Amino acid sequence: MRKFSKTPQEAPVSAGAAAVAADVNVGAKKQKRQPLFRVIKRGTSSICHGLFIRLCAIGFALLVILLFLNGVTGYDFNTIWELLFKGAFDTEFSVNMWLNSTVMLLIISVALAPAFKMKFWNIGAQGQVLMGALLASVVMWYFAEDMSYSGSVFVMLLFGFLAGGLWAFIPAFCKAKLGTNETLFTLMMNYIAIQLVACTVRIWQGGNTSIGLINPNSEAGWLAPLFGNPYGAIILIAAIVVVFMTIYLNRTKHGFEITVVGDSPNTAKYAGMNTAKIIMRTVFISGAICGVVGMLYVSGVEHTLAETLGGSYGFTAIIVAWTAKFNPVVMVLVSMGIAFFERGAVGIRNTTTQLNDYTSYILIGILLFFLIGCEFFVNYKIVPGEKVSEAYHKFRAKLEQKAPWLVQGCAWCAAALHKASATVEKFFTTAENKVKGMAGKLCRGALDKTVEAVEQCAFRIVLRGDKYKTVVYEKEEHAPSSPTAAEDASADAPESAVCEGEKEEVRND
Amino acid sequence: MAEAAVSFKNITKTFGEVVANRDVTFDVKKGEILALLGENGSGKTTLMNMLSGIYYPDHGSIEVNGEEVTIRSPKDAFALGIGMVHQHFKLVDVFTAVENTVLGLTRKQEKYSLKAAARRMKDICDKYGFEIEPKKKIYNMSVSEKQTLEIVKVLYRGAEILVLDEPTAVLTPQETEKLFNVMRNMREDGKSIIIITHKLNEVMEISDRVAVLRKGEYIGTVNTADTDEHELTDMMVGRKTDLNIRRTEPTGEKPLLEIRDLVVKNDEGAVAIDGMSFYIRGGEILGVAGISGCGQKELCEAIAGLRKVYKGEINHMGDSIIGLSPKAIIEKGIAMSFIPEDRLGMGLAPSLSVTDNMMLKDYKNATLTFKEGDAEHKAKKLPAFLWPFVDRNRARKKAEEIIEELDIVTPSTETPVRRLSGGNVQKVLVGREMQAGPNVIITAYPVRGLDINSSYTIYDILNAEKEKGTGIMYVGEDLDVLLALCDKIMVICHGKLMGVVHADKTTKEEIGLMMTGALDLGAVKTEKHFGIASDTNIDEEDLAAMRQRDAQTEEEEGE
Amino acid sequence: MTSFVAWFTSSIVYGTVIMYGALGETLTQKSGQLNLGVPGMVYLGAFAGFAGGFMYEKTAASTNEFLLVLIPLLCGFGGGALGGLLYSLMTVVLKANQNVTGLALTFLGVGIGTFGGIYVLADAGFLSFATARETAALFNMNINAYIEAGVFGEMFLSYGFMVYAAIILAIVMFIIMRRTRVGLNLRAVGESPATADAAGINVNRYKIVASTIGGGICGLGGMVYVIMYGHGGWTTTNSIEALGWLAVALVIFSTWKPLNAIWGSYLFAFLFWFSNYFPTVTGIVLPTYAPYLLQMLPYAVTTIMIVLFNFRKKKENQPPAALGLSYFREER
Repeated sequence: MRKFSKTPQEAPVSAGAAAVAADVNVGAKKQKRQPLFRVIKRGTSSICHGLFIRLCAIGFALLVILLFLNGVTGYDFNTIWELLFKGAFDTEFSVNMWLNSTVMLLIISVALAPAFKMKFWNIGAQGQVLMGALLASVVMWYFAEDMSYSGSVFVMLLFGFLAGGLWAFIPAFCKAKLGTNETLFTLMMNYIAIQLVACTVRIWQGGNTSIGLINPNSEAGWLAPLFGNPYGAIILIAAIVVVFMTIYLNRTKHGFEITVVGDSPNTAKYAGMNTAKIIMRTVFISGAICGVVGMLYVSGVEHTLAETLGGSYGFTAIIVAWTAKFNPVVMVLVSMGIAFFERGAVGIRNTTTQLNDYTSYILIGILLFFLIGCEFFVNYKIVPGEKVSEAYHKFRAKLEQKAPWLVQGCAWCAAALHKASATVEKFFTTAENKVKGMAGKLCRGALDKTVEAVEQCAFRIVLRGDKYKTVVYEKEEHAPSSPTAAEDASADAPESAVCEGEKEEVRND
Repeated sequence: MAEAAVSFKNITKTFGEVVANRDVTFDVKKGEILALLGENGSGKTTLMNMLSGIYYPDHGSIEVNGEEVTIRSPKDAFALGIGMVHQHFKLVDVFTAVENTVLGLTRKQEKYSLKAAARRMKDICDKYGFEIEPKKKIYNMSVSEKQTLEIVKVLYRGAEILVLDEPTAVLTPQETEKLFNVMRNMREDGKSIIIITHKLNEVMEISDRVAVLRKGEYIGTVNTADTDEHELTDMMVGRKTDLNIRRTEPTGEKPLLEIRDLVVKNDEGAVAIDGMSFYIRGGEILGVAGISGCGQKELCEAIAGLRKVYKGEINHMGDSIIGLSPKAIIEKGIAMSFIPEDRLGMGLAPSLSVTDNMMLKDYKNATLTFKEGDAEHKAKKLPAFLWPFVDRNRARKKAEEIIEELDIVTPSTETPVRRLSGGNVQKVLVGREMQAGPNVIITAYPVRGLDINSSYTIYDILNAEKEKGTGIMYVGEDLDVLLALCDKIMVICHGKLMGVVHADKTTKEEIGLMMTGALDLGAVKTEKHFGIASDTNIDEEDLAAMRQRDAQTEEEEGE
Repeated sequence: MTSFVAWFTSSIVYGTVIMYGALGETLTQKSGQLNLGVPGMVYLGAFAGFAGGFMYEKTAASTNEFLLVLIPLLCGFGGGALGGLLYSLMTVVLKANQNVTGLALTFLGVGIGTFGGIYVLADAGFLSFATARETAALFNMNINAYIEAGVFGEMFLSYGFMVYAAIILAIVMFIIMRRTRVGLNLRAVGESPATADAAGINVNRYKIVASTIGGGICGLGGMVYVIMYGHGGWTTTNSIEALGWLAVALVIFSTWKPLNAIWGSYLFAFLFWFSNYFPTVTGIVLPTYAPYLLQMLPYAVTTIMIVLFNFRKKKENQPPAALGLSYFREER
């Protein structure tokens, strides 16, 4: 209970306070600096708008790429295009390589989609791929020759799956239970994996300079060509994975949980979801599919183990997955594009000494930067700040005095442009809605019918025993009253009829 | 006498349709402690935010020391000598107290020297009577120490006008006493202090004058010495307005939810609910009144299973639901719905469509429809692992039903809910919870931020549920609504139950007094009879009639 | 004994490279930006520094010693800084996702670095090997060459000035971050941008400046690698990229404290060279796969530390609280 009293120590206090208080008068007169432009988040944005911005971005990226290649090689734009295309599609071999690149990139991106949807930043795809490759090659090295073809492939797939999944599970567990930063953790796991693989390679190498191909003579464990294409099996697996993931994310209970957890963890908890379990499960699957990719590399492409397996696809896929915003169609397109540039760069490189292997890095880097940067323009709009609009209005007023016709003309043009763009926008929105509606109905219809058919089968199988009671309603009874009771019934635990009856009574109190 | 330190002249501020402050004009004198009094939503925080540069008034002006000023940012406010201590502290956890104090000061203002700053801080503390350890890290500090630091920060920057937003909300009585002494010292030193508060006893103790706001409008200023708690409550809550909310007669049912001696802690570890006991009966709406932050949020979350219960019992129709997670509650079939105050952050997933939000709680249930001729069979709930798909059709039908029933304005069932307006969002949330057919509904601030029509729709929904025999706990902030809609009103103050009163037998004043802690019916009530509340103004006849009614109900139940 | 000394000295030099990378990234991360483009910036600096020195050497009639040192320094710093600037503009102004942008920067940086290096080489006519001899010589100039102080001299005085500069840089960073106003503001930006903003600090400016300078320092590391460590010879290997990731690991290992980075970098480098020198020092032959297991150690240890962070809960050892999160001041 100290009362205020003037003490000799007061001097330094007031000196200090005076220094700060001296600012008072300065501050009061100083107006806050106005920003030149304000950035406002867009409320809604139509798909067309987003598409337009992204196409612009790709266009700019292409321009820069062409300029760069032009500057370095001296070729003109047409030649460059030609060479790029040739590099990618000229021979059957190059087409296959392009397909392979696309597909590998695609699978990893698809694998990352569920983790990213849950806002779990799985940067460890590279490591998960390598671990899958490691275990698959172990099987190949030691056991494949004693197994049948399908046996070896199956076991390798399984081990690849488990290895990748486990590798991703570790950081997921720590995130879910301990709250560790998953970006750094998964990143470090990459390099541990690389070293483990390098270590294994050296062990197997023994005294030689390299392992060479594994089982070159027996081709044990090698993925056989499918449909005449050496990578046929891989393409098939990719297709399966894409379809599976689309259904998984959009139609299943797990997918629903992922969406909710990623959108709002609090809502997930409120709805009774076990967030930790969901995180661990989803990331395991994400890593597992990456592990499968590793196995595919070992078994179907390289037929050997190396720590450079997969190149940098683990990282590229992260950007692809993020840019595509979990839309599988976009992922396919972007993967194709990136693979195109990669193979095309090889094509150009072969014709000139000015370029080298790393050209593709630059091309892809440019493309990715533009794609990442354009997101801003999709989500935000730039609005001129007060100072700028004031200046603009002043300028306009002045101009109006001097040359009114100019201002009128500009205004008319602006209005016409506005109207035109409004009509175009309207057209696109209606078209978009129609297409969405149709596509939605089609897809929904098709998927629904399939699901319904499966449902009916499952139903019959399940109901064969009397384990789950059926409640029969005649069609007319589907009046508003029954849904309540039905909903209520569905919320009850599957206990004995007596229990249920009691609850019914209380409800009708 | 003393001239005005701060003058508000015709301040008006609107957010969209809501008028937060309407034509507010009053003065704050130099060297005084002014209490700014008002309920939730009265506009006091908005007004002070304009003084500290967070908002900018739509109309009107602010004068500081007689000169008109424009305050467009916290920096401007600092420069004018205005310092505000918010309820949510702005401190960096890993820094020490000194480091937090000097953060952001420029070389023009003072040379960087932690030692000198610590000395200055100590001088300030000695001058006014605080206690701060300059080298202590924030994460080691208690809440009251952090608050002290915030005040020191403001004083360090040379604030002459301080605004304290609910400072005693986080303090113990002893700490409050210390704070008041400090405030008195500051006043002696010529500083002007505005304290935003609800607590009438503190207002009476510390302030020189009291300014009252109600629903955005300025009511008046009185000298503390000339007034008393009753007059202040009157000014604060005003006369009861008739809202024309239909209130149906409760059907006198058994308690569906019983709470006994509940103790719940809040996020900071302090006790939020301190030994409460009450009932929620079927066919009745129990209103919960109280200053925000008195523990209502924690109470709702504890009942819904989202918060751990420290002590006590919660029984739903005889079954204890303590320790059950929300999932377990849902699975157990306990038909209890919780409509949280955080609509888009908790109750709904903002980016998901209406359809998806419909199945948020029961997506695991697969009730397969099996057609055979004209009849439809429905299987009971299958174990989740047997069926991996979600049934959107069912959810979509439900969504369409409630869109129709509750008149929800939305482009389609697939629109993300965050695009809907506030009222429609709430309708979606309420609709979903009702669809589950609960027999107990807990709802917190359901009409906050809604327009009139949506609010009335919500009231109608609640009444409809009540008629079905559902027990409803309604946490609200508008006393008029509580009095019109609810059958009984429970008042919480600082986590303690002040009393449960009948809405038709009590007054706004009585509730206001209970809310501010001035009236504690817990002490008045002698007998804890089943279902009877104790108003001070209920007479013996009515009491006897109610007892008889309950006795009849008991007989009918036969339990 | 001599091989131990050799082990020691190569660790110090190699460690210096890692240290620069780690110091640069520490500065960036202290402002709350998680820049995964460290290999890219190191590469950019390596290429720019090398190209600057090499071109100057080739094109100048007579070389000025001072410029021979200054140009690679500036170019190396500039190259990395450009990368850091690009990153920060994307993440702060265009509000892009930090992880994704950082990885894209790695791509671009590695691409430009290796591509540019080979381009320069091709230009020079040497397709596989080009050296900036004079530059390297200057950078490797050391005291011990003059004093000849025996073993002690060899171990501690025989390094080019960049090695000592790195240690000084670490100390300077420590002093700035702990003892100055700017450092305090920077730390606040990384811990709680909202608080810093409320205190009147320009959060965006701090982030951009920190990222740019941090990138420049990373670039210096690249330059040191090529010119000092590689004695001016440019070879296209994967090792620069690996260095970048080691630097990122070191940032975590040193718990974001520059002083820890000093001994941490030497430790990492020591482990890196373990399998090379251990046999000669002790006579024990290691299996061929040993180097890789040892090279795994820094990452494994860092990973364990990440997990332990959450147990020990000592707040000073945690990453900056707002690391990786973008800060937007809400519309009021």
